[in-house]
Amino acid sequence: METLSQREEQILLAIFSLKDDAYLVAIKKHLAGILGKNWTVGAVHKPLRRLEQIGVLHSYTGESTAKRGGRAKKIYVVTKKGYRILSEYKRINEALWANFPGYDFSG
Amino acid sequence: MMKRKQQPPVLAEKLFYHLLPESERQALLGDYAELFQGLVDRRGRIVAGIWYRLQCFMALLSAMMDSMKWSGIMIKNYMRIALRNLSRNRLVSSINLLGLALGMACFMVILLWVQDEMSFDLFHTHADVLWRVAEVQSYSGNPTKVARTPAPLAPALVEEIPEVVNAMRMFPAPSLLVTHGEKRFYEDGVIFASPSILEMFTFPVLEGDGNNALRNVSSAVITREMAQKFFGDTDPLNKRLSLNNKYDFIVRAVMQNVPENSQLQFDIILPFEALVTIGPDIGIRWGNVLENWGINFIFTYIQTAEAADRTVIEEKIPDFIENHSGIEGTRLYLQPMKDIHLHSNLMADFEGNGDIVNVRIFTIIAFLILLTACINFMNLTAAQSGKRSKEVGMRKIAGANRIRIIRQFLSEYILLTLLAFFVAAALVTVFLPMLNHISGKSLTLGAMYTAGMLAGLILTIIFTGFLSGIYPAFILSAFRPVQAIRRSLSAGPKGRCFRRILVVFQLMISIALVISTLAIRRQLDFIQNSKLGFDREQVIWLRLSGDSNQHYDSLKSELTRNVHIRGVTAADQLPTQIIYSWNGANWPGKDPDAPGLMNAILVDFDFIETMGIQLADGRAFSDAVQSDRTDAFILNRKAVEIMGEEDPIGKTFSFIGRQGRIIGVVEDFQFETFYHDVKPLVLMHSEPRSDHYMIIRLGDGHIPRNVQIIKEAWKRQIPHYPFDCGFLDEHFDMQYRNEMRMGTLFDYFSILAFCIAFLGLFGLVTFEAERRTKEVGIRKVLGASAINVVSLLNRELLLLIITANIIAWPVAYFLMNRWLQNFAYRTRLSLSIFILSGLTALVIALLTVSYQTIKAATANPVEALRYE
Repeated sequence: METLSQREEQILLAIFSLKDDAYLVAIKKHLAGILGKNWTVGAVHKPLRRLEQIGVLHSYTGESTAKRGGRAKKIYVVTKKGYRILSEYKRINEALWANFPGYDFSG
Repeated sequence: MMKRKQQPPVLAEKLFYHLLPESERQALLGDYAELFQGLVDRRGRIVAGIWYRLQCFMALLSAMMDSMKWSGIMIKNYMRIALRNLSRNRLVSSINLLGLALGMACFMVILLWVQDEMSFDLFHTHADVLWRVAEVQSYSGNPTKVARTPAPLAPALVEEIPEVVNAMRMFPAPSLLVTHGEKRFYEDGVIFASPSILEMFTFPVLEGDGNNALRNVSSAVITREMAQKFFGDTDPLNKRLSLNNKYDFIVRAVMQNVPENSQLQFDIILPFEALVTIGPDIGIRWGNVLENWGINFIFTYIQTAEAADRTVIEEKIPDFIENHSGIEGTRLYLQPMKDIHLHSNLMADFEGNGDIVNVRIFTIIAFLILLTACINFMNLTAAQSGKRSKEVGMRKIAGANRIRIIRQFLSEYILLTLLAFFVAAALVTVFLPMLNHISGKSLTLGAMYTAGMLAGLILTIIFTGFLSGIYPAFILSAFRPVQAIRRSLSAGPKGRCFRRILVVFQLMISIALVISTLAIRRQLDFIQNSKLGFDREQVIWLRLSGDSNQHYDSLKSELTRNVHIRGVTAADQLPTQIIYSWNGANWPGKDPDAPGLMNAILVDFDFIETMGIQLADGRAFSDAVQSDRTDAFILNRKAVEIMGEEDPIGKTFSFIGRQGRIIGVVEDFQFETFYHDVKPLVLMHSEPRSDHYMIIRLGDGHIPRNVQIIKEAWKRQIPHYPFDCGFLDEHFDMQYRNEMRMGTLFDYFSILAFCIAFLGLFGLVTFEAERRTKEVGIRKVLGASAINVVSLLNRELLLLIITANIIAWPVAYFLMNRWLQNFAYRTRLSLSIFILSGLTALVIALLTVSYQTIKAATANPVEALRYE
């Protein structure tokens, strides 16, 4: 099984949430919204490339908009393999986090 | 419709386009465009623009870093492997490097020389519009091109032809005695010239008024060297210089020394008009020479406004002399200033002129030698390539493609070439003084530091590296990885055939060069050892400058009394070089078609006896016969032949305004260079004049003592003129100085070419012996003797040398035959020269390879079979 870095894991999950519109800018924005951190293009693109190379991601050419200067989007989809890996990570994470009580800031 | 300002900057986007990976270009550019849009909306156009450009710049930077990092790693690796290979095969590598360095050194030197030859007269600012007026004379049969023209020509040209902007006439004087106080020197560099010499040509004046310096008839312009020589550190301006103790000149200006690459060579300029007064002292006594259209003795140069004016002028001037004087048979034409040094081969021209043919020959030789060195390199590296097959295999398995392998080897060989270049530069620095001595030039490496030369050298290095590396690089890169790793130390039969061709080619060049060298040597030996028809050994000559000729008789009678002096005489020219010829020899019953052009020499009594010239008929000039002084002629056989007279003695003859009878006939003797046949010659008596030479034959015994006797007698009789003498045989040799130089240079070139070729052969045999170690081992185990093995290894070599000889002989024969055709008197190209060269090549080749073959032959077969 391939090991994923934390960032790769986050990107994969972002692609899941974005469904049919998972292209670079959207992923970047989505992650910025959740993490509160604005990643550079390269910081998103590099993991995307690796994920695609190891077969966790699959891509197809999407529609183009005027905003993009008429250029098509490259839309990423998680493959079966990616699905399997993510499930494995979810299981491990949940097992690891199971006993963590959390912290109530309000109290 | 999108507003234009919402688009990303065009230029940055274009750059981006090339930086991004091809597969994702469109998507990524789109992403960036979208992000840019967002930024424009939130932060404005300017921030977005800066951001976009910054992104682009970062991408560029990282792309550069990336490529540099990887190519740096690869180059480092290539270089390391290259150096490892060098040190692993130290012997072969150093042979290789040395061979290449020798070739390059030779190439550089020849290029320096060629550059110097080509640079003649280019330093004149107006070089493009300067011309020399020369003429074609057709008085007697064959038209002859002559460099000298009559004196009134230059002023007339300026006056009558509007395209001629300026003109200069110039006469180089023979050696003159120049005196200032105690300092007395014979100077060869005195010229008489019009003031325009300093305007038309670029000879910068350092001190004094250059414009008016030559307007006064008793003024002089001298070079800095002369100023230093005569006046030391004192101010030379307005100082007095006296010529031949008679004529005084005032120094009005000092100019820079004349560059060595100038056809006009001089140290002192005197006004042209001064020729009228000094003329008689230097053999010019034809009345008012400045107005005489009949005597061609000065050089005429003109300047035009544009180079295109040449054709206009050339249409106008052919009949110029005829129109002015009625003298027929002389047609004028123009020579471009820049072409005179190399392209002008005229009668009565400057002595230092070069020859474009020599320049071409040497350029070809330079390229041939460089080519030999390259072939050498190619051969050795190709032969060694088997050794590196494993490396190539590994590289290919590790993912290198063919282009990369080729690039690797090419960069390796260019690096080696660079190394060789530094060795070559060191060699040139060391040997340049010696070469200057041989070639009579003063070349410096400084000439290398011009932009053109440097670019040329860098190109040469790259070209050499490329040429020598391309073949091995292609061979090596063609290896299939699996085969390359499995197979070791063998190159295919096709490669061997090609290498053999290369070796044969190299050997052929070397052998042809050696044959040429031997042929040139033979001819030079032939010239030097030939009997001229008079004895040139132990003869010295003195100039009778100024009034020293008036003391000739007393000096002669004092010397003839001395037992150590065999004979004393005088003549207007040295018998080794009689150049004055005159038209108009006449005799009763002369066939109108028979040529009247004959050479003439004015001699004192005892000339024929002193020079040892054979009398064929009649008698020599005699002091006792009064009429011998005025109306007696002695002819050579050739002249008699032209007359067609069976018994010429006592026959009437007239020549150069003299009427008289023929009193004697001498056997033909060689009075010109061996390029010419013996010409008709007339000897006439004359009292010695101030431009004549005193010629003295020494007796047997110690030469310096005999010279000392003459010197002391001279000092007693003519104390006011310094004693200055020369040897006749040296004067004779001087005429073949260029040929001697060429011979010496050819010696060195052929030795060099031989060295390079045999270095190559040595390397090749080293490799061959190594490759066949196993074969030799097995043969020895099966009972072959050392002799068998040596002959086995040498058989191929023998074949190569024989083939090279077969090709080289006709080539060399053809070339040398053509060279020898120039001489009227020449040696035959005997077979012995060819056999000698072939044998030399063979012997040296056998010696070169014997070390390797004997080592292979005497090695213990057990060692050989264990090898690998």
